[in-house]
Amino acid sequence: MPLFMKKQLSLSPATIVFGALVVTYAVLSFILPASSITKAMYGLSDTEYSYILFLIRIPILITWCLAFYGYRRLREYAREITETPEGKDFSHLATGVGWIAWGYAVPAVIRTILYALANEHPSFLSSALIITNYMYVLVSVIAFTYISSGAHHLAGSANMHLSIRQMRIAIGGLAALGILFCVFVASNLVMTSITNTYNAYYLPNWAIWSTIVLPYIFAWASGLFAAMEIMVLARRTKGIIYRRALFLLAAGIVLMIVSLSAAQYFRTIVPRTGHLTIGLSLIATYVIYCVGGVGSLLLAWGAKRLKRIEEV
Amino acid sequence: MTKVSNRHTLYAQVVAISDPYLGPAAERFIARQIHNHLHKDPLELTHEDLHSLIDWVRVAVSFITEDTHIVEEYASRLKQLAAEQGKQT
Repeated sequence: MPLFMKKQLSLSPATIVFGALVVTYAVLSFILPASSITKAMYGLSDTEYSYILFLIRIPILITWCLAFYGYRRLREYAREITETPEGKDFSHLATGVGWIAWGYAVPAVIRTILYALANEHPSFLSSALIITNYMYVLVSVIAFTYISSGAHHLAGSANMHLSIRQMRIAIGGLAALGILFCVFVASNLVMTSITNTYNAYYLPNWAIWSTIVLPYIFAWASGLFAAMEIMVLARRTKGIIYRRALFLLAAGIVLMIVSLSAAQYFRTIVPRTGHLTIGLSLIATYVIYCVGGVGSLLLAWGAKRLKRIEEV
Repeated sequence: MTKVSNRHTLYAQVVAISDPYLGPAAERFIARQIHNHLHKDPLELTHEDLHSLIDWVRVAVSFITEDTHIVEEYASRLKQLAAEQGKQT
């Protein structure tokens, strides 16, 4: 059997499901009812709306595919070294990156369907936005917890820890980002009462602070420390050939962490509206996705090189 | 995988030379070359096997890096070990 066909047939169930999600997301551009708000805002017909939505989604779909490709490469490498001391830690990294890849696609497909329902039944908009916001919180917390666990153990087992200076930079940076984040979120709230739900998140103020802001800051803290630890490991680990490959992998993971954190930071301080807006927010989304895409490629490249070391 | 239990074995010396190039993957890389190409247990590596092992290592490392300088440097350090072993025997 030709190698090409063998490769086609050896698609894993995960790859098939992910591919189905990509196709579904693309097809949903054409079959779900167009947003009446967006149509009125830009003077679009139903067909024009569908085509514009589809075109806007193409770069996003490419980023998903790259993230999934990076994840599969890292998973393959983790499986290759499963019996070694660092096997479990790379497996945690792969699981975290997997959550990022799936976390792009699954919530986006669900969100699109929920927004379409909200377009038809406006009273459902608040539920759609609440579910969407929580899906992304969940993805962040789980992905970054796995990645930080893997990175921390890898750095610890190689006896490479963050220096006091690096810790101070991380804590200072995190405090600044966290305070800015709180200021931006607070600017979207009516702070007359802790139970006030008159805001873009459709949640009482106490719930926003405790179940959106706090988990995000926890997730980003985990992500930031993971990014720093994995870079320290990649810069100091022994073996010039191994280190070069690990550096690519680490840089990829760091860019993916930055991209996901930036996307969620941005989407929380500029709350979701449930309909498409073409403007600066879309450009910012593309830039953030682009960083994630580059990160995925670096990750895949590094994982491929590391795997080759274990194969030859 | 065979662990380097005796730091004075030839295998341990080969792993020690490989460490600056392959880091944490060095031991399993060398063990695999010995198993797959010399068909013996790594701890049974002898001076007579070294030249053949160096050839296999050079080929294998060429697959994982395009940096010919590193490949040559690595191979020459292994050759140096082989020469030292030759003198001792």
